[in-house]
Amino acid sequence: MVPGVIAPPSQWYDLTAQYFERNGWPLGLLAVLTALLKAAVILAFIALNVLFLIWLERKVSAWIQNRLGPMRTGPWGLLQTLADALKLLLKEDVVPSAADRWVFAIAPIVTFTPAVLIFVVLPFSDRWIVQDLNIGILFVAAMTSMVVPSFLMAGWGSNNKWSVFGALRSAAQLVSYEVPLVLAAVAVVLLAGSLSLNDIVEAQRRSGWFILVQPLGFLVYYIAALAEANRAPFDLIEAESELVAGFNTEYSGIRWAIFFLAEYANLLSGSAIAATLFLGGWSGPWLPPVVWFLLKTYFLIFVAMWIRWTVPRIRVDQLMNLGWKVLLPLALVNLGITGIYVLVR
Amino acid sequence: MRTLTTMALALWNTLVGMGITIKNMLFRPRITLQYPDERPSLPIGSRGIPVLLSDEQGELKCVVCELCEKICPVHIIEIKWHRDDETRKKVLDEFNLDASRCMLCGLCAEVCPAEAIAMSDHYELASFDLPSLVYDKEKLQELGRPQKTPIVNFAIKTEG
Repeated sequence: MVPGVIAPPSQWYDLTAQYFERNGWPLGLLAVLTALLKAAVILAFIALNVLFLIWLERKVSAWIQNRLGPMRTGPWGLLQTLADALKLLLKEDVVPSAADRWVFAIAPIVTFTPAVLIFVVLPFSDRWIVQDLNIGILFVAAMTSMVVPSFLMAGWGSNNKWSVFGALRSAAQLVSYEVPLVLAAVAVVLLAGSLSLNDIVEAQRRSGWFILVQPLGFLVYYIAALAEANRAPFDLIEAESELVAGFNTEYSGIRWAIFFLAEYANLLSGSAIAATLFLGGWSGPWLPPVVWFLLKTYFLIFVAMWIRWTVPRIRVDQLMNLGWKVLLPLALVNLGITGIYVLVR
Repeated sequence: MRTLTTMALALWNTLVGMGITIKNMLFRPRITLQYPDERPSLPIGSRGIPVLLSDEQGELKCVVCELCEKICPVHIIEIKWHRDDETRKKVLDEFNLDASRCMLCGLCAEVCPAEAIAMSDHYELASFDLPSLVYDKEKLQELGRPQKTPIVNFAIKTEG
């Protein structure tokens, strides 16, 4: 049996399993088919959301600057991203002659894979989860760290000084912000008593949202998550004004599009996990769980965009100061207080 | 202690900035004009290409003094005329204006003693072939006919 079927209620799965048994087909085949179905659903979800998110980013930036944003492709410019994606698909695949061919070619895929894998443990509702791993949040932390080697591959493989600068900055930044990120998440795990994201949501249904008891933890987590997703004000990795485009300077066409896809998939998953850990995930009254989940996720995404179009990029030294001298002590204090609270409870 | 103050200040400043941006997003009007669909209402006195103006009878006001042809810094006005044998008046035969080279200086309109030429609000002159940008007498008269405003700063408006 494959637990935690996405989308169809589990009696559908049981019926299909009975059908397979009656015909003498191996149940392993059903498991593979279910996995493929889940992967297709998740990929479609990511692709649609990224298309919408890029449009939303352009709209929010335009609204904040008293502009209209894309208006001419489809109603309110909704098809703009699709048109851009088609254009990128048709572009020539340029690989610089000095580049390390294979590393250069593989880097976008290595970036995109962990971004997709995070969605494996995301609980869209009480039932809709690809696989409710009992190490859920640890898996998320591991997958977000996987971005570092892929950025290093892209930067080093491009054989271009801007790219290497971007890659080195990404290594420094992501490693620094991984620590407070995980420490803030650990405080939540202590409260919930489980690493599984679904159990964390269940714990919040019993005790109320963790943002109420963990405001400091939420702040630390959200800032660190912004840095992990390379969002402004922490977009030093791409920093157009200094590094051209950082690690993806040499990328164009569909490979660049995959980087972009991964970036917005990371924003989506980061916000979704923040919503799951601190805002009660899919739990909420009246509306169906999926709606609550998407509402909370999109609220956090909007705040991320709002921050991006408000504050300027910070310097490298400020970035390191914030990570190691502010966020890390705050996360440790928060974790200590939470630990004591859990002990005496 | 200093670190704590700095942190609190940084957070506060970010929040203030976010307040400003959300105010802009929600309450300030959009300034974008969706150009081919919406057009700017040009202020009176703005300059497009010069056009010829007509009097109440629909006749050109031009007295064929040729001052505009002489003053034009880029020599794009070409005037041909003959003298009417009976009335002994100059009669305008041709008035050609090469809009592709007009620099919209407005000197022709300034120098005109009869207020017969004025800068118009025609500014969308793009064309695929150059000769079509040489406007003749009839075209210029036609452009100047729907005059909406009196001449202000040597310019008129023909629309809205």
